[in-house]
Amino acid sequence: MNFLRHPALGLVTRLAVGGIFVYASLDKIAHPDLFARIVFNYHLVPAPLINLVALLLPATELLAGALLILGVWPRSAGLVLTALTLVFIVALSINWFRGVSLECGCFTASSKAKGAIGDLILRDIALLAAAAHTTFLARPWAALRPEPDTALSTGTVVD
Amino acid sequence: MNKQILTRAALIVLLATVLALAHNAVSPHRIAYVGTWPSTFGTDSAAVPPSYQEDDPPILRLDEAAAYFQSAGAQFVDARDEADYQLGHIPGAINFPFDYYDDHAGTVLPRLDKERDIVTYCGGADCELSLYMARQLRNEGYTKIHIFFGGFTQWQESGLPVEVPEP
Repeated sequence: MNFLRHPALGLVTRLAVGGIFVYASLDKIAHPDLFARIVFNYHLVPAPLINLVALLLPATELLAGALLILGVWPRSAGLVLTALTLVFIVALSINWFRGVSLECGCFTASSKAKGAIGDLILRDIALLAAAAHTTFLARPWAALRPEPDTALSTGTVVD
Repeated sequence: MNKQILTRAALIVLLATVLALAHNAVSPHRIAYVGTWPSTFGTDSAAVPPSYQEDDPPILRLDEAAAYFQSAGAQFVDARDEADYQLGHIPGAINFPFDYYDDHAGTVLPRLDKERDIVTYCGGADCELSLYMARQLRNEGYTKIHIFFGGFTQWQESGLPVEVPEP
């Protein structure tokens, strides 16, 4: 599995994952009221917190995505996005189980974008793998402020 | 996973939080930090009167109307008579009785911003004043019009905030 540690692959997953999240954040930041409605429709967030979640989620996507692209603290930013993707997968799965028809809110705040939840979950699992790669396996290449592999272990040098 | 990575990850989330709250404070599309949402879950369908045509302004469901309500940019227009309006209305809504359109047009139309979203409503599914008002406003040159057919009845029943003027 040496190719997983190839620096070029690290750059590719960094740019791809960072780019996807930055792109995904823009429409939601432009239309917080409509995105809040989508958060409401997931029926997972208590009513008083819906607007805060609708504001914080896309901002976190944008910031962590941008840091990942630039290679500033890439493992930390990747960790944030890995955790976010996990949350998305759980949220989608719960509503899949409930049998609710859902507006994804993945890339747009529009209510027109409806997809089969199973497909959305598969897509997020692929994204999860790529995001986890940026955190746990990628080697820093063309990163402004790289973080060493040793940052992942509690002390011993891996490589 | 060492502490430094976890600390930085937390810092990233914290910084995003600060940026998001600051941006929302100055954004023309800002929303309330604590939202008001319907307590009922049955929000998937929208009531539509028979006279609604396909090219009429778009319809909002309750949750969509609630979303526009959170937005600082949206204006609600209450098309009912003044007496109904005085008994209670959606907070911040402008009273523009459709039955007395010409009497009010001179004072209300200048207050309605063409750049902002407009949501018309009336009593509920059995009233079509919201539809007539939406058509009329479109004729006046407004483009960002939406109709909330659930109206004040559905709004109130779902536990959303209501404004009652002082007697």
